[in-house]
Amino acid sequence: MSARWRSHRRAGLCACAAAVGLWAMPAMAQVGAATLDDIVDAPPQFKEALSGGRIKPQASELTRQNIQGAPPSKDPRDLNGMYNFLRAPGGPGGAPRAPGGPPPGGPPAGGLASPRVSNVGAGACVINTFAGLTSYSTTILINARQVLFLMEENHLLRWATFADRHDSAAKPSFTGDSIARWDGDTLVIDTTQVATRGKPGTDHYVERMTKQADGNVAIERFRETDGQLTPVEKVTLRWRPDLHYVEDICEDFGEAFGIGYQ
Amino acid sequence: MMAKGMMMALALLGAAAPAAAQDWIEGVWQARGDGMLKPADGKPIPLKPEAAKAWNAQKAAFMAGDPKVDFSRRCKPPGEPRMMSDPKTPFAVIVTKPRVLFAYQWNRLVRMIEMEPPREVIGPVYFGQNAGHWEGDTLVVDVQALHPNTGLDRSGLPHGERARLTERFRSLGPKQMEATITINDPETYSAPWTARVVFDRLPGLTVKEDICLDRENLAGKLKQ
Repeated sequence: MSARWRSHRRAGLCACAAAVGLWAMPAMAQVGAATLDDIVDAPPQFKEALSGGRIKPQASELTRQNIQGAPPSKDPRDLNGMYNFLRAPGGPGGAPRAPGGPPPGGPPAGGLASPRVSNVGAGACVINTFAGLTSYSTTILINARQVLFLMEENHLLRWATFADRHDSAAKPSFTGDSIARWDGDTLVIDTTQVATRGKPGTDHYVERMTKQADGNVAIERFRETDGQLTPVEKVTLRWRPDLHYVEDICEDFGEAFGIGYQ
Repeated sequence: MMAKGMMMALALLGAAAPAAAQDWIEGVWQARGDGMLKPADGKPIPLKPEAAKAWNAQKAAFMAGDPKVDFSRRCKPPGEPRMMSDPKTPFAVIVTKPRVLFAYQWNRLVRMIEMEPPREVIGPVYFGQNAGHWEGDTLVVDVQALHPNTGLDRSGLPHGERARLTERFRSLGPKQMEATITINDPETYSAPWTARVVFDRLPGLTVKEDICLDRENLAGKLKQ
């Protein structure tokens, strides 16, 4: 069983638990519509912690949080946690791309120093552009020095350091060079040198991220051109404390589907 | 003015910041040595005879980079502790209260350490299932569920399905870090043994973007 599929099964079970709205019951929270089929592939602690669609009283706090979800921190600057995302349907950027969708072209001109325009062999396991949020989980790690976004699918990392200027030596890359600052309780990330596969040149983006009372993070993304900001898209990272990070190795799936190394 | 500055500093050091005693591990590190694990007590590696036979049979191919035995040559994760003890692979550490992340430059791989007691295994996974805690300013990590397609080091040192590693990371001063790795794997080794790896701090907080499949594609190694 793949980690990816397992993760989705788990997410499905948790969503099931949350959807019926009974997760706040303290001792024997009912897991509503969860059936034996739902939990057959769930992590062992779920199966052991459930009885007749309810969480057993002796279940560990961690298991309870996995099933029920934990409340978000009250600190508006504490974005630490796991999320998945919602994108405005039909908006710029379009719908989330399906896992395994083909990349549009080769490495960026001037980016990774290659004139090649096709990259069929690498398949879907390469990075296309920096806004690589998918329906898979995103983990945010933030402290006083840096913020890091870890997208589960294809282990894509984006970094921003709390600095007042960009790295003058930064070269074009798919994730660009990012610096962060606080504007009140809104995290502002400025990213330069963003390369996009199949597209010449680089882009400059500004993102504003604000934590909502329900733990979700609202993101507004703008493209910066000659000092002017043009809205690109709005994305909501949905607070998902019921998820644990699961290693996703696209290179394994790539081989299974006949791309990449054979 | 000073009060405002202090307020800003306090805000920056808010709830998301790690405790000061644990700050030392943040930054970029690179292992010293040759990437081979050896017992810190100088004794031979206590490999069981069958494991030693299997290791010796493929060690040369593994070290020569044969992708049939070393799957990292096909852009798969090398696993731990091989990855962090490779002297050619810098990694950044970021510390938050719920998680500590090792982010490797090589193919932007990550190792997520959740700061909680070990959970039931849902692996195997390439970087293992990592549960961490702090003992003072020492980071202690319990690793289990290592993927069978990984070796413990760059010679392909084997491990079994139920191998359990205990790693202790401590500061040796502002520019160095030590990891002691205790390998408890009765299937493969006749007794638990401990290796020691020393790391040097590199400048900065982040590592560069690296995409293994792009590199391999450019080198003409992928099927088109």
